[in-house]
Amino acid sequence: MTEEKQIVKLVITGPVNAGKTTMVQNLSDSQIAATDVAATDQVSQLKAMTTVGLDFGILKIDDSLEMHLFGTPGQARFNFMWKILSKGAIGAIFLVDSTSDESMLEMKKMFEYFSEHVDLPVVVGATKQDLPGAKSPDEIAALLELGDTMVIPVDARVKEGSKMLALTLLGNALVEAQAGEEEFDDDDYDYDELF
Amino acid sequence: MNSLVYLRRMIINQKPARLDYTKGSVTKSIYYERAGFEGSHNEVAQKLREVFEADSVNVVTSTDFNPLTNKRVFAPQAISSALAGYTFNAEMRASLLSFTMRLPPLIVRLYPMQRYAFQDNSAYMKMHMQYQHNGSFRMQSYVSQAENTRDEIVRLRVMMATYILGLIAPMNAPRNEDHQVTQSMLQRNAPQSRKRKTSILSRIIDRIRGL
Repeated sequence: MTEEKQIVKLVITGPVNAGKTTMVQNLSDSQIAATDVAATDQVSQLKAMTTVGLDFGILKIDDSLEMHLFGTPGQARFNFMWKILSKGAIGAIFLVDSTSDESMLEMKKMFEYFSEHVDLPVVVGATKQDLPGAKSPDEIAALLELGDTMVIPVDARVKEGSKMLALTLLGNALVEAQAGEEEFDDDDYDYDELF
Repeated sequence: MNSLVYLRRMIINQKPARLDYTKGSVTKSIYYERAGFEGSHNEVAQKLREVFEADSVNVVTSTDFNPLTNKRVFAPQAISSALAGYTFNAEMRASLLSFTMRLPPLIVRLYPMQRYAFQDNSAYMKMHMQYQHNGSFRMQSYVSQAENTRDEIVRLRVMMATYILGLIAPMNAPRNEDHQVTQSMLQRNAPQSRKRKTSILSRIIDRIRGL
């Protein structure tokens, strides 16, 4: 009998034109399915093509595990998709354009929805930090009221940047999961056990 | 250094607890719950410093406490304040170094400590960078690489903060368990489910590092 392959999801989201499609490409080892079309609304002022469906990529982890990467459309009106995407997901990466006030506003709406409806490890990648007028990660965290969510400068065009962001998210999730294994009762206060 | 172990477990557990500590012939207590340590900013910082140096520590978990005040200091803020400018004598240094030697290879969580005015945040960032670069982190190496006494103090404070707040954890997750992921698996709280989750995360991290 063939063993069924395990599949987990990583969601990459955020406002329009922040670099989500590129990040999905950077972290996938299979042909990406991108659903870009010519932008017709306000988005057309930012870029010629925008994602209307899902960017999708697969990273094969080993013979029995695959990670499916979903790049979700960057408008808050697509928030309803979280209900589906968050099932079986190991975390979410938000990308935000550090130079754009519109991006910040949209991101705030998206993150508010996410905080209320989704329980997943999350990090925020602040893209375009090299451009004039870019807000610093701390300014972005304060502006968006991100609480304890980490904001990390990232160049989404560079593969190493995408890797670093994903590794930070997964490393944080791993520490949380490991710490969660440290449950103990009153009797377990044995200081010889450090963890 | 059992006080560090007790503090960590109190904070990770997130349940109401009272920590009794004795220094010399004086016993005091500090109350903790999910919202933080009970007391004003200064009171909590002072008590935590006393806890670090206590001769003995005991934790009582209960929901039956009657706090004296509604003031709470959130754990990252409390630990940052207690460690701000904190220095120690030779005996304490020896204890901290001994504690450090017992830590296994670690994974490091990136947490916005700068938002809680953690004075040693840049040293913590460097620590996380080392972890990112190597895929695991040895606290012993990190502390022994200190350039001078002051730098060693900073690194030991970072060790204390990250350990107590649960920002470091042992790198001992099983890597190749056979199991089948279901949609609810990642959300359940059963220990077995968490073990599976750590196994999956570890395998994905290894794979992405190799991209």
